[in-house]
Formats: sequence, structure tokens, C-alpha cells
Amino acid sequence: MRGAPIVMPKLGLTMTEGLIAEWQVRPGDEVAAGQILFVVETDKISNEIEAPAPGRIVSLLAAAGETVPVGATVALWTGPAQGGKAVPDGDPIDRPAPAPPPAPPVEEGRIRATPFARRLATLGGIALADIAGTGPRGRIQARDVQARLDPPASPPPPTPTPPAGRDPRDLRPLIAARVSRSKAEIPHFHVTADAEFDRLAGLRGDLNADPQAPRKLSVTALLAMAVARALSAHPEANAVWREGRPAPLDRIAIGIAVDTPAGVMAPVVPVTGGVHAFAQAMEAAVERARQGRLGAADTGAAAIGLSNVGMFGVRALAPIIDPDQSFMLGVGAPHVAFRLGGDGAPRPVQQVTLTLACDHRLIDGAAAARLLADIVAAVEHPLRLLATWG
Amino acid sequence: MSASRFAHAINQALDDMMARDPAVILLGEDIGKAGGTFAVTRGLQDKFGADRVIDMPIAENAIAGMAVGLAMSGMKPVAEIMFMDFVTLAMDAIVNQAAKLHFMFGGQGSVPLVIRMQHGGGLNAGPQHSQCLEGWFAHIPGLKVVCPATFDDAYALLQAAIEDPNPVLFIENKALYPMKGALSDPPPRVRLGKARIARSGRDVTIVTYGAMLHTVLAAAETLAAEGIEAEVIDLRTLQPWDEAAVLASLRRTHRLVVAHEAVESFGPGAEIAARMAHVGFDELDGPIVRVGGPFVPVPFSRKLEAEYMPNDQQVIAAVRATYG
Amino acid sequence: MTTPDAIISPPGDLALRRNQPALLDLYEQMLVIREAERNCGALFAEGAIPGFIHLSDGQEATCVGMISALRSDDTIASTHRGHGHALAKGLRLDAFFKELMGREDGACKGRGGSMHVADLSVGMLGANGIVGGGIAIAVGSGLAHKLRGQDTVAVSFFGDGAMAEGVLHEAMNIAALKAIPVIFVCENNGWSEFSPTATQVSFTLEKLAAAYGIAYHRIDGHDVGRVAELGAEIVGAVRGTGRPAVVECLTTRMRGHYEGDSQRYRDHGQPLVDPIEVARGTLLGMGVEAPALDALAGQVRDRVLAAVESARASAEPSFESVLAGVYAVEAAR
Repeated sequence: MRGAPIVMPKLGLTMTEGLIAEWQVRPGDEVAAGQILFVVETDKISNEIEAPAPGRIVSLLAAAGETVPVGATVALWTGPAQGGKAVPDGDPIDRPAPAPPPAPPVEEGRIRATPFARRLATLGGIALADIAGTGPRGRIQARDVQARLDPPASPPPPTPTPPAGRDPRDLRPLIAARVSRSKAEIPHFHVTADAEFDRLAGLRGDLNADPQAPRKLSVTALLAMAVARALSAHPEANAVWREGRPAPLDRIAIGIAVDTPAGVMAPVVPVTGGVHAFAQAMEAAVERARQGRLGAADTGAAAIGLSNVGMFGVRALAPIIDPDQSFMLGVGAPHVAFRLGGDGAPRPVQQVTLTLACDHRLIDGAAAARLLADIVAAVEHPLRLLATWG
Repeated sequence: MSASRFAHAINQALDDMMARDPAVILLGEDIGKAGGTFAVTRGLQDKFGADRVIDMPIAENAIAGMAVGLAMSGMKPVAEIMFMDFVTLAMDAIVNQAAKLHFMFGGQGSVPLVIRMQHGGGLNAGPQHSQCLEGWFAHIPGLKVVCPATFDDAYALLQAAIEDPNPVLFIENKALYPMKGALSDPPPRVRLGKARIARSGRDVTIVTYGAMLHTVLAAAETLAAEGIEAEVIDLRTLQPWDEAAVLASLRRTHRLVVAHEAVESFGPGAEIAARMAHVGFDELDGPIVRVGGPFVPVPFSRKLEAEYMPNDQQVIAAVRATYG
Repeated sequence: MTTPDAIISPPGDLALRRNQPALLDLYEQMLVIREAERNCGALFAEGAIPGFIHLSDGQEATCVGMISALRSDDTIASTHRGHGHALAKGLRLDAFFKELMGREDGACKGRGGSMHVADLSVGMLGANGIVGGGIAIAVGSGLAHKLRGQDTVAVSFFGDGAMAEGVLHEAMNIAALKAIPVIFVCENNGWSEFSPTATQVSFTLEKLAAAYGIAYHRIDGHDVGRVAELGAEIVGAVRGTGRPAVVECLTTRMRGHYEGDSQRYRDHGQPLVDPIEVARGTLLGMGVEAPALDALAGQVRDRVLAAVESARASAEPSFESVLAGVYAVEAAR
């Protein structure tokens, strides 16, 4: 390559290096004197570097986003040399050219993002290039990803393509790591109870039949409300085990297990307000999960998760607790059982089998049994979920 | 038990351990008759006799070397080096002998000794009496290094150090000696190598040890008023350090500051920062920032030393720097 | 290199000289050490022993004689030239060679090598790679014996080269101040590495001991019978009084500071006194037949060779085991 060097200028007494924020010319461009070639960022200001004379850009030797020592050659051109040596054919230049990137042109530059932000973006299925970074030098931080993931006022953009070479919805390694950790760290025990389901099913039917109902409530939403009601009566259970002691949570939230093609995801939905408010939040979270667009807001703290596999016909599920939680309630399919009525005669009832996985560090069998009994009671008296007392 | 000052907690631990085990003996300069330069060993010679609380001449190399020989011959010596700065005179005995004998002899025996020394500035003692050199020893395979910040830990960590079959350096901070407080009854037992969460928080993890804990907690209070909740981890042991606890905290907060009084450059914080940058890389939402002493010998004058000492404003600035 | 007129100790009881079996036993021990060192030199030259080795040819009478006065529960600390001390105190020959060759079943599992051979079970607290490194350790060990109310003693072997190290002075001061039953045995071979001792120290050990108020004895370190005799007296006195002693054994370092040392700094015209020759002469004078002594030497050669062969066949250690060996898990007794 033949050309005279354009170098990183010394823009201040103490400057030792400068960041090339952007190039404004490409190889082959004819530039006039005074035309801006590139922009340099130091820790003090941004500087536009002008061509001192006319010339033609031969090659760029440093990429946008690179930090280069003062005096190092950043480009070659046909104009007059500035510091450094003129570079005849074949001689080594005073700074080796970076390896040519496979496809993207030099101007695209490097995206700055914190590792945690990258991870959130990957999990949320967003390309970093679609996120505006508010950190130093345009660095993308977690809050920027979160802002992008939170539901906007306008309809959400189409599902973005995941970064090349990696399917963000391949969750098995993540799931594997989480459940392995959970099983290794949490001493599980399970308590099981059957709850009569007829009243809850009936209430659901009535609510959903109302033409003024804003939405159809799912069984899972009602079950989650029952769990929340029971948990509110057991504040010592609304906690997670951390660093050798219980860390109480300051609000009630339920992790909802969602089956997606990529694997199970479990957004955490806070319980604020009544059944419909919860159901609305839960619906939105479930939809985000199915689209692989969960965000930081879905990863809050919760003491309990809920996994309803009743729609698949199985009798019961003894689940694994999420590693950051203390309980997981597995719910099976409604099935007919016979109970003795008040008159001594057997009557058929619908039952669901509830299996509560518990973290034995936090809670003992008796207290867990009492909690489950209260969940059963809430399921069997579903009108209480609508009441505003207690 | 009712220790009223930090120094008493250490005295109480020595007293209780010597009463329990006749193999525990103390040796050091002016520890017996005079009770120690900072009165930490006061009363122990009267109680246990001059054969168990032994006043030695000013001979750090021999004191430390004899501690090795005592430990190899069935005793549990607790030697004192009066100022950590003087440990330089005992380096062969500590680094080439004590640290290596268990390994070098193929595990034939062990060296169950403790060397107590006090570090830190704040008393205008000048450059040769104020250094924090614990980083040197955390770097030596075979040594354990412990640095308590609280009453209970001063007692329990010394107890654990004496019971440990390895050579343990027990680092006290001279500025903490007069700190008022009380021992729990009984003080909870502590395992070497386990950190303690001194304050829970969700926004930034601040890792520290020794007297700096109190500076960091003060900074955390100020930050809380601005809505930043810091999680403060007191390492308690530097070697081995509780990497798992720090990583678990980083997973919650995604930001990390490491603060200590020792000089920042090549200090203990560098190991913690580098290790977390490696194993905790995907958790970081900002750079890891350290707070430590400047690269300057500890100056003497009141004004100079006050400006030398890492303070809560620096910790706060470091936290802010993790937000970019 | 030494002259008998420098000896201060009284001639003493010559019973040992007349006692064939005891002298024969001491002679055999010296032969074992000499043969072991000869094999070490050869193994080192062949590349089978890595690192540095410091052979003690010419100093056998000192260590065999002094250690013959000790019990197995007495403790010794040694120097970088510690093969003789270790073997005389009871380290087994096969464990010794395995260690020097870095094998997993060496005395120190191959982790220490020549300069760190040790056997705590027979009171050998280790050879030491730091000049003077064992001195304070021995004093501490002696203090431990005293605190437990036993009459066990500790011995610090060091060379004249250590006399310039500060820790020797610290240790002697403390031993005298605190009345610690430790014996400071200086094997004075006249050389501090490559320099004559006279250029390294401005004093004599005799004057130093007097300055610290410690009983001093000088012994001709070439006569194992004398060393054993006087050693027994001195050790007995230390056991009885609980006070330290200094013993200066004048001896000869027949080889270089380390194997590979060309010794250009030595005057090779001066004849070297070989303690093994001295003892052989005494035994012949007492009426022992030469062929018997030769046969003994042959047996020793075979024993040592067998130990070398077993070491050659030993396995190399694994690095995984090393990582687990940095910290003790339980206190060892």
C-alpha cells in the first residue's frame, strides 16, 4: 500500500491516546482541505480532525471504536505526511493494519455493551444494534435493554432476528444449569393434597360467561391468586433462603411456568390488585415468554412458582423449585373422585392434586403442610379470591 | 463475657484458648510483663505464667522461626509481631519455612502456628508503622490470612485460627483497638474462609475487610439516601477468600466495588476484581472499581495522613463509577 | 586442615576407642553415608537427580558421632548439606533416594528433594534450603521440649557459613536468656560456599559463645570415636542442666559446595583428612582384620545399591496430589 500517514493528533498536553469515534471518509474518497476525516474522543471532548490539504484516502488503518496512541498512523492518503514516515511499497508501516473484517465495512464499528446487558438482550431476543446505549461512549447497559423490552404504547415491533450464529431461544443449557443448581442447593421435600375443584371451575365459568368481562380468566390465573392469598397468611413463607438465613420479600409475586417451544420459561408476576389485574399482567408475561421476549421486569423476586400441567392430563407433578425461590406448586389434571357427603352417601367431585415442593432450609414439614392446607382452602372457597376483606 | 473494646475481644479469645489447651502459648516483644504495646495481652502473663506468655527480645526472625519449631514439636504458639511493618524481618521464617514445611515434607507434619500483627494508619505513626501488607501473604501458598472487623469476629476468627493446623496470620487494625462494643454471649463460631454479608442490598456489591468495613457501611448509608442500596460483604478471611459469596452477590447486583485500606496498586482488591471479571463476566453491568490507599508511603502529618486514608466519599464515587 | 593442639576438650575416657563393637557400628554408619553420597554424585551426574545437591563427604564423623549421642525423640534441624544428618538420625535409605529422585513415595513425596529431606517420625525436622533457616526452628523445638517438662534436647546443625547470619546471633541470645536445651553444632569445614571462613567472620565461635554466656566445646571432627564420646558428655550435660551448648566440630568438606562446583578457589595441594580412613586406622589398630572391614564395606555397597534400584523403579508423583497438599486438614501429631 502506498501512501503518506494520517496520524492520531495530540490534542492536549496530557493526551496519550485517542478513541476514533467515527470515520467520515472511506478509502477512495477525494477530500478537500478542511474536510472532516474522523472524529476523536478523549476523556475531555470530541474533536473533528480535518484534512490539512487536498488528497485521496488510500486506506484506513484503524477502525471506529478503536483507541490509538498519539502519533500512530490511522490512515494512508495521497496528501502530505503528518508526522510518522511515508510508507513505500513493501515496507512495514509503523502500525500493523487490523485484520480485515469478513464482511461489514469499517464504519460499522464495535457495539459497546456490558456483559449483563448482552445477556438480557440475548434472552429477550433483541439485537444489540437495535438498542440505544445511554452509558459512557454509547455503552448499552441493562437499563437500556430493559427499556427496549418493556411493553411500549404503540404495537410492538416484529420479532427481531436473533444475532447471527446463535438462536436465543435455545434455552436448554440455561434450563439445565438452573435446575441442576436448584437440585444441588435446595433440600427439597414435597407435601401433597387434593383440592375439590368444582367451585373454582364453576366460578371461572360464571366469570368468563359475563359479556362485560374484559378477558377470559385461565385456571392458572385463579390458582395463582389462591396461592397468593394463602401466602399472604404465611408471611414467614414469603421469603427466600439467602446466605444462611431467610430473606423476607416485601411483596407477593408468583412465578408462572410457561411451556414454549424453546423450553419452559417462568416469568414472575407480582400480585397487586384483584383477579383481573393479575390476570392481565400474567397474560402479558405469558405472551412475552412465548415470544421469547422476557425482560428484566419479568425476573423479580418471588417465593413461589406455579406449574399447572393439568391440561396435559397427568395426575400430579412433583416439581423442582426455581433456584431463586422457595416453593413450587405442581398442579395436575382435574379428575373425578368420590367423597362422602354430609348424608354419608358418596358423591362424585372434581379434584386436582396439588404438590407443593418446599425448601427445607426455610420451612419445616408442619408449616409447609399448613401452607398447603391454606392453598387448598383458597381453591375450595374461590369466592374469597374476589372478596376484598382479609 | 463482656469485652468492652475491640482489643479486649482479642484478649478474651487468647485467654479462653489458653485456658482450654495447655499447648497454646504466646511469645512476642513486651507481651507479658507490659501486656503488649496496645494492651492486647494485658493480664495474661499473670494468669498463665511466664512459661506460657513469653517475653522475647527484639528478634523477629528468631521469634517467628521459634514459633515454627514450637509448632512442629507439638505446641500451638501464638507469636506477636508488634507492628506489621516489622514482619519484613521475619519473612524467611514465615514464607520459606512456615508456609512450606507441610507441603515440602510431603504432609509429614503441620505447622499450627498463629502470628498476630496489627496494621493500618490513623494514628500518625508514619510510613514505617502504618502499612497494610496482608496482600503479600495472601499470595503465598500454605499461609492463611485473616482480618476481623467486628468484635465477634475478632474473637471467633482468632479462635478458629488457633485451632487451624496451618500457619495463620491474624491481622488486627490498630485504629480498631479502642473501638467500643460488646461480644455476643457466646460469640458465634466462624469458619475460616467464609465471608459475611454485613448489609444486604440489590444495587451494588461492595467487598471489603478489616477496619474499612466501617467506612464502607457509612458510605452505604449515604448511598441509601440516594436510592442506591449497597450489599456490603465483609470477607473476614483473605486467604482463602469466599469467592462463592462474592459471585452470588454479584449475580444479584451486577455491580462490584472492592475497597480496602491497603495500597490499591497490586493490592488484594486486584485479585478479587480479576477473578470476578473472569467468573462473573456475564453478570457485570458496569466496570469493577477498586478503592485503596494511594501509591504513596503513609505520610506522617495529621493533614496528610487524613487525606491518605481511603474514605467514604471515595467509596461513594466508586459506586457511581460502576454506573458509568 | 585441623591440628590437635587447637582442641580444648580434655582427652576424656578412651573407653570408646577400645570398644570395638561401638566403633564398628559408627564406622558402618559412616560407610553408609559415604556410599550414599557417592551414589548421589553418580546419579546426579547421570541426570537421575535433578536440581542442586550438596554432598557431605568428609563430614561423616561429625554427624554420626553427635547423633549417636541422641535419642529418637531428640530433634535435629539441619542445613542444605543434610544427607548425613538425615540418614544418621534414622531416615531410611530407600525413602532417601526416592526423595532425591523426586518419586511419589519419597520421604517427602518428591516435593522437597535433596535440600528438604525430613523424617519427623525420627525427630529429623528437615534439611533446609536457607542458610541458617533451621537454627531458630531448633531453638523453638528445644523450648517445646522444655515446656513439656521433658529432658529431650534439640540440636541445630549449621555450617561455619551460617555464622554471619543474623538469626544465629538472635537464636543464641534467646537460648541463653531463656535457658533452652538446644545444642548449636557448627560443622566448621573452613568454607562459606566459595570463600574461606576467615574472610567471612571477624570472630571465633568460641568468643561468640562466651559473649552469649553459652558453654563452648571444640572437637576434632575427623575422629568419630572422640566425637561420639564427647558428644555423649555434652548432650548429657544439656539434658541435666537444661541450658544450651555450642559445639564446634572442625571437619573437612571433601567435595565442592555443590556438585558441579569446580572448586577453583581451593588449594588442592593440601591433603584432606578423611574421617573414614581415620576410623579404619583405629579399628585396624584395635585388631580388627582388614578383610572383615572390606567385607563390611561390600555389604554396605550392596545395601545402598538395593535402595538406589528400588528408587529407580518407583513411580512419579501426580500433580493432582500436590494441589491437595498445600494445607493440612487435620493437626498432625
